[in-house]
Amino acid sequence: MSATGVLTSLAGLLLAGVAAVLAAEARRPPAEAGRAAEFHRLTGGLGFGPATHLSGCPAAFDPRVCPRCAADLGSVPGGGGYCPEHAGSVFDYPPLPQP
Amino acid sequence: MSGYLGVAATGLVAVRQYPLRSAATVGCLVAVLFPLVAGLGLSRGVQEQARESARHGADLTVTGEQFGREVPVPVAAADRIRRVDGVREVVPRIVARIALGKDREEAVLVGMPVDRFPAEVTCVEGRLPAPGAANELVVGTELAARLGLRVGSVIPPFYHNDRGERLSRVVGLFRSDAPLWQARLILTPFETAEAVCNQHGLATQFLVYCRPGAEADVKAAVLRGRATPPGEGDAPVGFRVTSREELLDLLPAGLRRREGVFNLTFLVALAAGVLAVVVTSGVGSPGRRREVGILKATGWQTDEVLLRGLVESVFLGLIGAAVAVLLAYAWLRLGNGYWVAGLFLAGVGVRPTVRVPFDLTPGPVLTAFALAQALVLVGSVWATWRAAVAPPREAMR
Repeated sequence: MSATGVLTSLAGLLLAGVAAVLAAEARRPPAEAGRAAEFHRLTGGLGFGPATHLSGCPAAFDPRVCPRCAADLGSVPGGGGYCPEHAGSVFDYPPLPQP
Repeated sequence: MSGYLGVAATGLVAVRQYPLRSAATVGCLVAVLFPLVAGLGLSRGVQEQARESARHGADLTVTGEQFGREVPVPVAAADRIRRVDGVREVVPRIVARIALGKDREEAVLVGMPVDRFPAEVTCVEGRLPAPGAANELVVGTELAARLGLRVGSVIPPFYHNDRGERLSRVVGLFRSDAPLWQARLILTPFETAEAVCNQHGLATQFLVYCRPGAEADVKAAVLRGRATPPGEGDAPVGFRVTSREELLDLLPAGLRRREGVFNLTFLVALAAGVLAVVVTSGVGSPGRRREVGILKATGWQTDEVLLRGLVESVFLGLIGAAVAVLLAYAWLRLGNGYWVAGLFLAGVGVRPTVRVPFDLTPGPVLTAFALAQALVLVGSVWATWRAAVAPPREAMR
C-alpha cells in the first residue's frame, strides 16, 4: 500500500473510532441509574453541582443547601470568577430565585 | 473532474511530504481540543447526575430564613408543615461541614432519621448506620481513601459536645459508582449528626414530600407560616422553600451560561492555541511559499494550488480532532479521569476514587471538529492563497 493509502486508512480508522465511541455512548444505559436513585432516596436528594464538599462554595455542591454563591461579586466585571469553585467550573448555574 | 481528484490527492502527498509540519499541527490541535472535549463531557455528566438528584429528591426543600439568609429550623416546626393539606411526609435532615483527621479533610455530614433507611441498599458496601452506644457512620470513597478507613474502622472522638463525645465506627462505605457527591459524605442517624454538630433540636432542612399536584399549594401554605411563630421562640424564623421544578429549571439555565466560566478560561487557552496552529500550519512559512511558487511555475492554476492546500488542511484537522476526541474518551471513561478530573471537580483527587461522571454527546464532538477545521484552514489556506496570487518568481525567492 502506498504511503498516501496508509494515511487515508489511518484517518478512516480514527473517524470510525470516533463514530464507534459516539454509538457506544448513545447506547449506554443511564450511568448506574439504580444506584443513583437509591443514593438520592437514602439522602433525600443531595448534590447538584461540580463540588464534592462545602468548604469553598456550598452553592456549587447543592443549591438546596445554599441557594447562591457568597463569593460572587456580581457587580464587579467577571465577579463570579472570584469564587474558587466557579472560576473554571465545568457546570455553572445561576442562583435559585429569591422568594 | 478526475483532474481535480488528482489535484486533491496531492494534498495527501503534501501531508507526508512535510511530516514534521503535519505532526506539529496535529499535536497543537490535540493540545487545544482535548481539554475542551474533556470539560464538555464532564459538564454533561455532572448535569445528568444533577437531574437524577432533583428527580429522586424531595418535592420541596424547606429551610429557615432570618435577615434574608438561611438558618436552621427547629425540628418541632415539622409538625406545622405536616398539618398542611397535601403533605405526605416531612423528613428533617442535617447537612453540615466538618473536618476530620490530622490533615483536616473536608467532609459533608448528613444526618437522616433511621426510620427512613431501607432494609437493604446496594449503593453501600457494609450496612446502614443505626443508633447505639457508638456513632455509626457510612463514609464516602474519597474520604475513606484519604483517611485509610474501612468497614469496621473506629474513629476516636473528632468533635466536641456539651453532653460528652463517643467513639465512631465505620459500618459502611459508599460504592464508587454511586453519584459524585458521595465522595466526601458521612451518612449517619439524625441523632448522631445532632451530637457531632452539638446542635440539638435543629435541622438544616425539612424534606417535604407532597401528594401529586399539590406541590404549589403546599409551597404557598408553608411560605405563609413561620418556623417559630411569635411567642414560641427567641426570634421569629421564617421559611424558605425550594421546589423540584425550580431546581430542574437551573439545568437549562446552566446550559445557556455555556458551561460557565470554563468556556471563558478555555478561550484564553484557545487564543494561545490559535497562534500555535496558525504558525505550524504555514503562515509566514518560507517552505510553503517556495512550494507554491514552484507549483505555479510548473503550470498549476491558483484554484488547483488552493484545492491542494484545502485537502491537506482538512485532512490534518480531521486527524487532530479525532485524536483529541478519542484521547478524551479513553482518559475519562477508561482512565476514570486520572489527574484531569481533579482540575474540573472540586474535592476529587489526582486518582479519583469516585466514578467520574462523563457523557460524550455529538455536540462537543462536532464542536471539536468544527474548531479544528477553522484553526487549520485559517492558517494554511490564507498563507497558500497569499503565495498563489504572488508572481512565482517572488514566491520562490
